[in-house]
Amino acid sequence: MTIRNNLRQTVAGVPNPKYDLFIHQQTLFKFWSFIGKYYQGELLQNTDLLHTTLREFTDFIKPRNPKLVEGLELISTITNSELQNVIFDYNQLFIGPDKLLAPPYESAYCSPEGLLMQDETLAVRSFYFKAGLEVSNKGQIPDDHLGLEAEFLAYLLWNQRISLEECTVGDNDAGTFQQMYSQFINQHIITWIFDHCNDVIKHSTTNVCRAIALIMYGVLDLEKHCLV
Amino acid sequence: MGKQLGFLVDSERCIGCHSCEMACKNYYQLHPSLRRRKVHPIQENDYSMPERNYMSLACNHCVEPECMRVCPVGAYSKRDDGIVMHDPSRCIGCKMCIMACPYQVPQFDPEVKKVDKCKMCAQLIDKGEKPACVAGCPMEAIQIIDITSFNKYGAVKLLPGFPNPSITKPSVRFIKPTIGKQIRRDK
Amino acid sequence: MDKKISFNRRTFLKGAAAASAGLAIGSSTSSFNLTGLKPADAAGDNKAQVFRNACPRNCYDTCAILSHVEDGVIKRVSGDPGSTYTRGILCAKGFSYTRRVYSPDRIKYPMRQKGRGSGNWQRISWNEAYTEIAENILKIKKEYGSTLPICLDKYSGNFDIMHYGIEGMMSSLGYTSRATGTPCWPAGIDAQTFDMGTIISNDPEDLVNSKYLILWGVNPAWTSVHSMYFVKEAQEKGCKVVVIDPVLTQTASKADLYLQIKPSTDGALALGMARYILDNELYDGNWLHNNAKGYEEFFGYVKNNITLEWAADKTGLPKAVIEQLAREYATTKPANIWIGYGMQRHTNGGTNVRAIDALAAITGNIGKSGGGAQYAHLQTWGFNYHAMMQNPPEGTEGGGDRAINMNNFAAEVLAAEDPPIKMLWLACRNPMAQDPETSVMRKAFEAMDFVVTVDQFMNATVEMSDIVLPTTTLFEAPGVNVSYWHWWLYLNEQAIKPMHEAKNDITIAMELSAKLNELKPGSCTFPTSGDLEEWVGKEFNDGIYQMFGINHWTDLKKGPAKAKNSQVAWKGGKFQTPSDKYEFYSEEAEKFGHHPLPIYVEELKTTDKYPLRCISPHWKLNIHSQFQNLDWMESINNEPRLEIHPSVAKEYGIKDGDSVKMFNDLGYIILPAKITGTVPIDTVVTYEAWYKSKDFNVNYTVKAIPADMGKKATGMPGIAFHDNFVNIEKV
Repeated sequence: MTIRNNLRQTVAGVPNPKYDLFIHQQTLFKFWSFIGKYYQGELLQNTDLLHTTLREFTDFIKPRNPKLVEGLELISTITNSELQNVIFDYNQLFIGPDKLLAPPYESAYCSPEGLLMQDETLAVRSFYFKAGLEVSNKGQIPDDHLGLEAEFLAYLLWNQRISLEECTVGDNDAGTFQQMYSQFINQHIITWIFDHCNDVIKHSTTNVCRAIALIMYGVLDLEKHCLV
Repeated sequence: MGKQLGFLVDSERCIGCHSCEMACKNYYQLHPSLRRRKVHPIQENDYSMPERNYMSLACNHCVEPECMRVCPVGAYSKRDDGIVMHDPSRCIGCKMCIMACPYQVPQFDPEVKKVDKCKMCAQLIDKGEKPACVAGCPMEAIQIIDITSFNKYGAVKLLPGFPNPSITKPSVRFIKPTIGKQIRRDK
Repeated sequence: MDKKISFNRRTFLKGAAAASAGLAIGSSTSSFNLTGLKPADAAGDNKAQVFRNACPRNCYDTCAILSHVEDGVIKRVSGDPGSTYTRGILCAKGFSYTRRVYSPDRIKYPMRQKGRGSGNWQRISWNEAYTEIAENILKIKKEYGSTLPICLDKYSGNFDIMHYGIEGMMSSLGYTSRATGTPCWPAGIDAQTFDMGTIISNDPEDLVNSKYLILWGVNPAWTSVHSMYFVKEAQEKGCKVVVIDPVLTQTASKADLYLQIKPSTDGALALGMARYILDNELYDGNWLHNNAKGYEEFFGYVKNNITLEWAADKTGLPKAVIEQLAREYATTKPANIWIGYGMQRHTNGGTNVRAIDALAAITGNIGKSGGGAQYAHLQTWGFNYHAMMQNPPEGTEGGGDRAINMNNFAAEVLAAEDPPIKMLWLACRNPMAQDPETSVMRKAFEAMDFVVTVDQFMNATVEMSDIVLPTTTLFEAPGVNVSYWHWWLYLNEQAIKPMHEAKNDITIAMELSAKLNELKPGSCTFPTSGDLEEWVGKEFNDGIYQMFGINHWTDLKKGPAKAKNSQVAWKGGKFQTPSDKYEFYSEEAEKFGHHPLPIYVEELKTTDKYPLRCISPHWKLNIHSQFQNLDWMESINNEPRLEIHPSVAKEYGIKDGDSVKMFNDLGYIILPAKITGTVPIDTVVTYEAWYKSKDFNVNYTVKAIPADMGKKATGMPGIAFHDNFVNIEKV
């Protein structure tokens, strides 16, 4: 990955603030991409790959709060038998057929009824639309499924990086993506993600799902303090 | 005296089916714990013979509403037609009204942390339509009446189990359920 | 804004060699790989629309529904005012439909359980599901030379006409085993079939014309609220409403006169009344002479065998009351009787219905507006059943499907041989919860090689399945429905897209057929593709168009249609019996092992060990295992209760709210007591329902005792659900 001049760590000997932002966004991008794939059901067919990916978290996520510490530690304790059982754990948390122990939908936590396809779903749909996107199976899969929301956030971060890298139209484009990212996190993630992570931590039967929830909690805990 | 809209609850026609409750919840897509209209069973000992009778109650849009009197932020108001309205934008969730109402009408919405209450579907009434509960009753057991001019023979101000109406002067009238003849085997 | 999409995912991942293998960083030449999202189309479907839907539940009322949709989401439902029976109003269950469609508990994807009953569910794709199902079917076919080891158990979970495509799917595989019969109402159907030739009832909107109405063992205040409106209208016009029921039901609370009859003795009351009518010559001799066969034999039987003292003793009702009832019924014109299905769920249920029919006949009330003996009708069900009529594949051997008694399902599944039953397909049915003798049902499920259930929620039957396929609600696929009580026809439009990966039963049949034919060409004749709306259209014929006065089924998009033919059943006295007359004396009945006349058959009695009868009627907030599991219902009531009479409670030392164990030699249930005078002194009552987070099932104590009748019209006798004898103790 080539880093252009404007993204060098120092420029003419002076630390480049855009570089810190760049690295921060890279971390978040890796994180949200992972969450998107995980909640959309990928990475579960190949548990070795899942395990490898999780172990790499320690490379790029610094344990800056208790939840992150605990989550990263848990990853090192994951056993083979747990990996075998991760699919059952995942299903009883997020899929079914029984009542979901940790429904991965914003409206399940935020709507006054705990129902799906409510006002929150439609607010998320408008947000995607503003960014020029919509759900591939619109109307059938709720727009506020965490897998989709995570994919959306990764999409915003990706485009932000491209803008930063290629310096397109000055800084404005990167700024727009940054703004959309902050807004989405504040309006549609912070409002429910901690309850969701707590449900996973409470009900999970494998350290795999639990670790991911702890890390997500930890990352969002940091994010909510950083964002204005 | 001006107009005072209220509910006429005909407990003789009422079959305790809960359609009125559900019609309201369906119209507003309410949180499961919020029952703006509740169908209360009347104690069978309150009548000469055991029967299954019900009293369907929502907000009574009282002439002297306690909720309005105790609200510290003026979230309640009474319209010219007597409907007592609650303004969620002013509500601070202090729950004073919940404690003050003798009929346990205002309920606390745990999601938005504010009070929730029946408003007699004022927006429908203004369009000349019926409130959801009135329109949703299969027995036509709930009607909207003007208490000031209502004068039906046999209508009463309370049924067994209903709190003393002299406190807040609720705008609700009832038709008593009649007990038919019963040939029983438990004498 | 960059909206390029990378289509080749493998390259994308490979290109990230320098970065981690599992995470997508990618090179600067490719773009973000969108999977769940895609570039947005134009403005989108924001407009508000109203669709017509038809409630497909097993209910007298089967309402015409309007669904209000915005942004592709149902915002609320309402009744369709275009039907004079629905009158624009639903019921507590109908109004709660949005909770069902959007429930987070809905089964969303096909799932496979690793170990039946283990709770270890894996998500699979539809393709994987079809493949496994098809392979199992073909394996069975190869091993046994037929598909008879495959058994379908399907009934009333969804009565929309399109769902007969499920039977069609089975037929298209070959000859299969089928759960035959019906648990709810067959004894009464046979009774009316022996008496009149078939079941036909007046338009329920005609109830307003009655001047005397006996609601016999039926509780419309809970099970047919729309009819209750007409009952009330009749009352306001001067009709005397009499309710005869062992329990003081909600309907009984609205009666002018309530008779707390001893359970299962309804025939004795009817025959006692007939004796009075005979003695006092209050019968309609003219009508009988012109329209009935065997009335002399009937009168002879009554005169020689029935006395009012006997009737009073049997029913627990005073003689004077029976006499007055008989006099009023016979002399008030027109007089109507509505016979309930609860009433015939006894070992003598069928013959009791015959006796009640006889009352209507001897008083000349049959064939009159405001009169008659109402039970049900199937007149408006003359569809093509196109989806159901499929042919077996070429080369299929054997004589036809094998009938398995739906009312003794588990035992017969276990006993089946030559060939045995190895695979179950469950749809529109929940036998693990709703059938009697739950422990035997469990054994039957455990004995299977493969179980597939098509359903919306995780219930007891799904728990015992290998594969569960998520299916659509009425709002998510087209259909059409009628009723066995009212005379309306309603179209069901598709209001929203199927949620998650749910599929309609016809779609499942088509796709399974495609998979079967892919693995073995010619193994299934069900069409492998087709537009669902076209399927609906194929159910209609000229007969339906004429009956309902429409030109084309698409006319129904504009509103419901009502049958044009007579409001009144059996008007003109032309019956459909072998003699064309009303048959008091029925050789057909004799052929099926019954006495040819409507005699009294002794009721089952309690024992010393189990001195209490348990009646388990329908509950007002559910239809069997549907609706009570929704959150709005739970907020009204979330607990079953055992209704016990105060003097019985005192005897057992039970107070209101105490935990009570109700048991017999089959099993037990534990639930809180409700002390009430609305139940009689020898009977306890608990309402059959599925509370999703409670292990409550009254069927743990219910034996599969057959009712007397049902074989002629429905293939199997019914179930005497209310002949359940128990004892109770405080826990």
